Amino acid sequence: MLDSSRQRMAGGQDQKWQKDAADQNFDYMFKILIIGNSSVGKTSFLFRYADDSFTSAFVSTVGIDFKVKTVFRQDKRVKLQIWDTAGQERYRTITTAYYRGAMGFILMYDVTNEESFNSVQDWVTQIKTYSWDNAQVILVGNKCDMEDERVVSFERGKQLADQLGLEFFETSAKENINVKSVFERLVDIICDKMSESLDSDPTLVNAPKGTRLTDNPMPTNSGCQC
Amino acid sequence: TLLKRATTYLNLSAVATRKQSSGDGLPEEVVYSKNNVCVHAIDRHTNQLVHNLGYLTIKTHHNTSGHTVGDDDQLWTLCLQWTPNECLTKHLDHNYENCVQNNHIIGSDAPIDGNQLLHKLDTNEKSNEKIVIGGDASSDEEFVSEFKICINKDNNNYKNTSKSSHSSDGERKRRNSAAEESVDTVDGRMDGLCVRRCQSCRNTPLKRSANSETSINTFSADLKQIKSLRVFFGGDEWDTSSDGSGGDNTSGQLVIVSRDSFYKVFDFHCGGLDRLLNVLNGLDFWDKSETSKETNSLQFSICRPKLDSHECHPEEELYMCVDADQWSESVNELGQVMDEQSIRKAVFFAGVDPSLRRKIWPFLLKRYEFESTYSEREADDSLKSKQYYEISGKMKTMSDEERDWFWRHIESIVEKDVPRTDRSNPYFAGDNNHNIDKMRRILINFALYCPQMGYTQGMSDLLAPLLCEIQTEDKTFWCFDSMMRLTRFVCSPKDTDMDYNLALLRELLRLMYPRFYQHITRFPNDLGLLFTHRWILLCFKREFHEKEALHIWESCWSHFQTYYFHLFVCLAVICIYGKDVITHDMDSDEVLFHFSTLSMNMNGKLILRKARGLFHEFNIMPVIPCSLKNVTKCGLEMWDNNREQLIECVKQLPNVCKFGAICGCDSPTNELSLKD
Repeated sequence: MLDSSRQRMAGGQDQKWQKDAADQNFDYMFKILIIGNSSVGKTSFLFRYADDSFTSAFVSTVGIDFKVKTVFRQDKRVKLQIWDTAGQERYRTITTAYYRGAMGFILMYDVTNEESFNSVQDWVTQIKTYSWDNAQVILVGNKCDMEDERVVSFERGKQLADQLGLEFFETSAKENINVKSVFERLVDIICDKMSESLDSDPTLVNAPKGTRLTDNPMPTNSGCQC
Repeated sequence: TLLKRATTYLNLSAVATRKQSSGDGLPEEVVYSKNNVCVHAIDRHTNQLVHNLGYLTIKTHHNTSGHTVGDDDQLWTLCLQWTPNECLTKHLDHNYENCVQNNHIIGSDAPIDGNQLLHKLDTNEKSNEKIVIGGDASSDEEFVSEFKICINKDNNNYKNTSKSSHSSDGERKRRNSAAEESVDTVDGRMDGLCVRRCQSCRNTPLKRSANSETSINTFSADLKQIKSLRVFFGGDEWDTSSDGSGGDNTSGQLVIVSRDSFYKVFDFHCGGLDRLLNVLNGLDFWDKSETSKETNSLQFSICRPKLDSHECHPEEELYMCVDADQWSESVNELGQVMDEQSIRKAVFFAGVDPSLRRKIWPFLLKRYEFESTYSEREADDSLKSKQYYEISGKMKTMSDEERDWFWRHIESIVEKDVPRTDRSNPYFAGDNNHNIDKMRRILINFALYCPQMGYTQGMSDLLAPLLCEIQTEDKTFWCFDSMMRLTRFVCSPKDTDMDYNLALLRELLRLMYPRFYQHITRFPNDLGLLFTHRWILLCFKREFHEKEALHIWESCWSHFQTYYFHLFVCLAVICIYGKDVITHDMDSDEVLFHFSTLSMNMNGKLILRKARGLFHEFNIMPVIPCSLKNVTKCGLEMWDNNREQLIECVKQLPNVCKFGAICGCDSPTNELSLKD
């Protein structure tokens, strides 16, 4: 025991917590949702961004998962709470909880899957129905590394994005193409939107450090179910 | 190469030593160290547990530079550091210099004599070849066992040898024979578990090479800057001690929580927590009060999850899992199960022997009646078999429109989910596996057969263990059909069923864990129990390892005195692991995060035991609210005197209905949606 207690670690400033964000100090917290049909790669996309990892063997998402990542953007520490849910989520409870307070969306389709592209419009409707008006959306065509199996061209994706007034990226979680750019762009446009709102409502400027912009107090349901 | 490695190692030691001596002379003192401390990672995609062994130290570090003197507390930090064993491997190969740069190594300033080291390497290498290990437990066994694993990892052929190499660690030497036996039994005892875990730890590099996701890093934290530190005694060996006291077991978990509510869990599979406690208890900066809400005060608490006898079900420990003997005794010559209640009770307390699942599950799932005879079952099977193979014919009668709808909403999703379900299970592993096709056909046929349920993501997770045990396609289908109809156990994909379950759970919390109930009533109604959604939907399949999850399934299926045992399992998880929610005053997102972090890190056996205890506690309550009056109605009573509980109408309780309590007084058939 003595011997082992004399063993030493050499240095080690690597403060790596399991979920990669050890600090409580942040200027803003944004809740971001990744939506899209089943199996377009939402979970992989999140894992690539948050953990920088990819594996083609994975399980379907059931319920809600989220990861947290803190980034620096425009001199601000922004804590991202990125939510991932099942493409086929049927439970109202989960859907509403999921959309509540989201400030940004990554709407994803799979460039090798026509159906997922055709569903984009439905997802946009879903966003409009459930989310906050100012929520920012980026359209993402994932799996762009699979050129051989591609059925949705870049042009079609871009065209649809323009039509819907969304920003557009093609990405590959597998090859780590544009994953970071999507999040960075999304954070930027959320920040822009925010400063716009702040301009029009200066009372928000003095919000204390660490304010959670997503915490809209919700009225509790007071209907008695008896 | 051996010599080369040894030389490399020695060089490294020299580097480390030099660094130490030429440093700023910062006095450091290692106050605690332990080898083979495990950090679990969940491979999200295969849902498999990955063990990462590492070396944990806690050292005090006196910070003599920079700060002004005055506050004594500022002068020193308490650094906990965990370094994965594989970083030791690194410094054995040519990358060691990178390691040094990245601070990812364990150096040793203990003077190590070159010959001694060579000797160690030698014995280890030899033992690898000979598969007979155990003779090298030298004075510093911790060092040896660590080293041992590095070398194992280097050697890609170790897989075949690892079965016996587990005995290499001197620490476990004394258990050798027991471990050897239990390593293959699924219901392994403490030794078996321990060994198996360590074995899988050794297997990780293989997995990892194929899967970069599980890469694991050095972890370090200043214990003075964290929010809380908890020591959980018990680990996997919970129910191995017959008296339930946990005995002198010093295995368990160390959980540290950052101020930002991030967790790190260290598993001490091979003991050592007692020493850690001694060290931690000697430090005086902890706030050991139970209720402190001050976020900046450090929490330190010890959790010995030995449920006191009053917390356990009084019949705990009386039952053995249903094995072949008991089963054959209870079946008469006609094939009828004579003592249904005893079987159910044994399953409730102790589960089913895995080799009998194929036989017994169909009864538990109500696919077969307990009183049916062999011939009746046979006749039924052949009828159902025919019926099953006719189902797919429905597809042909569909209009183009229907066909298109079915493809888009069912088939395409099934096609995507099936290849990503339980692939780590050998039964479903590999390319072109026919069992995958079986799973696909069953799910599609089920959606055709039962269009009102169709297919919901998660169903494949529920089907996979059934198929794996029952194997025959048509028989599995009908068991799955029965299982989906047991909506009291798993929710059918309907909001109403889920809502009803959550309403009951909320009421159970109000009754049995009022502080937690108080906490979640501050959230919007539907957010409070969001974290239990997946637990209920998949009956804990994603929260516990398969072996434990299937035990939970069986306990729920046993329908012993209740159709709602799964809710008591939820309650048990909340009781045992939910204290932090209150202590740290978590909001709903944090609660969700808290419990999702815990998944695959919880002790399933302990949870089940607690759940049975809670169920008993509920059963003997003199008064229960009407909202819960159906919880213990199960229609299978064997005693004459049913326990009388007074029923209190929730309508009389202010503020209860508005949180979703459903009054059960007016309509005894309130749970229409839950009828079989």
